[in-house]
Amino acid sequence: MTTRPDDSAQTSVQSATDVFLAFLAKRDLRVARLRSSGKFIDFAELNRVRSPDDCEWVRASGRARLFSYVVYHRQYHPDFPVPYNVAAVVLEEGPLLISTIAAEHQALLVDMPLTAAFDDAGRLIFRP
Amino acid sequence: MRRTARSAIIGLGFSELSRAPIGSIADLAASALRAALDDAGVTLAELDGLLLVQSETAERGALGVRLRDDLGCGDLALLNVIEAKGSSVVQMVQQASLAVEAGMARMVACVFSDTPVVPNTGAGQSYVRPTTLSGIDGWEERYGLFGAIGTYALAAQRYLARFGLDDSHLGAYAIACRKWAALNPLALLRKQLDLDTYYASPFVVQPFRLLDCAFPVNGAAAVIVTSVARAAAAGRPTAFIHGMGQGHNGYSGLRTNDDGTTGGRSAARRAMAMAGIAPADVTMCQFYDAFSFSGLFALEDCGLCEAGEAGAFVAAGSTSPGGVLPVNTGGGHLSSYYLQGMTPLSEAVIQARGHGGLRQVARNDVILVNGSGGCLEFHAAMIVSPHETLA
Repeated sequence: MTTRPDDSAQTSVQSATDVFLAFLAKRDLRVARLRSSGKFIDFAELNRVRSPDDCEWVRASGRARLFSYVVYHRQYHPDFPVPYNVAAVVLEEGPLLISTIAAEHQALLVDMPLTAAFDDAGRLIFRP
Repeated sequence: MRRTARSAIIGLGFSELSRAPIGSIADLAASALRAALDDAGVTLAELDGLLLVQSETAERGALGVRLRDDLGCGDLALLNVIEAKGSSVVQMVQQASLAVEAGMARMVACVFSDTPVVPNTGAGQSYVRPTTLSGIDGWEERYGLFGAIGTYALAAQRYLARFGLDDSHLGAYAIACRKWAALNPLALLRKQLDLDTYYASPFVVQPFRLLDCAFPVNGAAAVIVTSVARAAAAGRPTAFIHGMGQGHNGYSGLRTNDDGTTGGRSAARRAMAMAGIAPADVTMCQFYDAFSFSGLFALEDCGLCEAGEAGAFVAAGSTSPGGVLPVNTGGGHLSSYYLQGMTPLSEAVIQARGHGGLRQVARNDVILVNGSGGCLEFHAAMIVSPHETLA
């Protein structure tokens, strides 16, 4: 992040992405809502929020639906033994994020309802 | 209203195309360029423009402006490297066209070169990089979403579910392309496919099987772009460029516009508007189809099929040899050679000039060429024709 000279006296401001990740590290899934419009911000747009003060952080309901999923059958990375699924999940509040579903891939269905959870490593996952 | 072409392609050349190591990206580029000049009947001294595209996955600067020195070009009036992901090659030819129309350059070579296939590694490995959809550093990597294949497979799965389609429709697309490839001596995969063979192909990233993915090669291709007047004076087989458009609206194959389209719709519409034609006037398509789904989706995104209907259209043979709307008549990325945007462009030039041999399509009047990249986020399209004017 670039800093304007007149900001130099300030301590470094957390970006909206940092705020999101800080909540998540405490196993707290929050969604950013613009104060001006009341609109929820997609995760892809978090780093375009000019100031984190422009948004408020609403606790997500944890309810979501499976927008799409894929199953990796070819191993590209030693940390990811196959098969494993990668999912695009839409939160009830609207934002879409990439995650994984704690389920056999044969049980996955597009648009199925999901619930947010955290795995042992603290990674955000979803359960049917 | 009759419209005259914007510019003309009068030469096409390839380097050797191979799965083996056959030289550096710059060497292959030079080889394709010389072949294209020969084909156009143009000398290196007559060339006054050089535009280049390298693969995003190649080492940065692998194909740079110093190629001018390696080639020993004269005093170039135009020299640049174009980068807009999968739309780069079509954009490169658009820039060449604009330059010759404006009189900034007279004879412009457009070159793409890549060497993704390295020994002892699966070719797909060259494209494996973590993707960033969220804009949050490392987010997708944490879930193992690697390569363009992951995001395209997500878009494909959503598309199939949305319209009640299944992998037989992806298979139908791969089979149709292979029928064309069987007639193309340049194609590397020419053995006929049926659905059983398709289903036996291993999943890479489900719903994509190996046969749903582009067939990477080492190689290069080049075209020579000049003005309509110079092309007429040269009197050689010519592919005329009538329409050019781009579309980059922030939507993707994963997060489409509300109507299911992406910037590909804008790019195609703009190209058609410039050419003064409608989707129904298109007689042939050459799509950037790195995955089977991309070809199906392009039919809809470009307005040639209604949403959700491309699968049935392809399965009915409509895009195959003898079909009403031939698509990727050289075999496309899946069956011929994966030279990114040069694959559809080169086949459009071959078809427009009537050089298609066994696969030549009689109705080659209006050819739609597209290029797209990111995850269907960046788009460029062109209308190419053997005719100097379109009625």
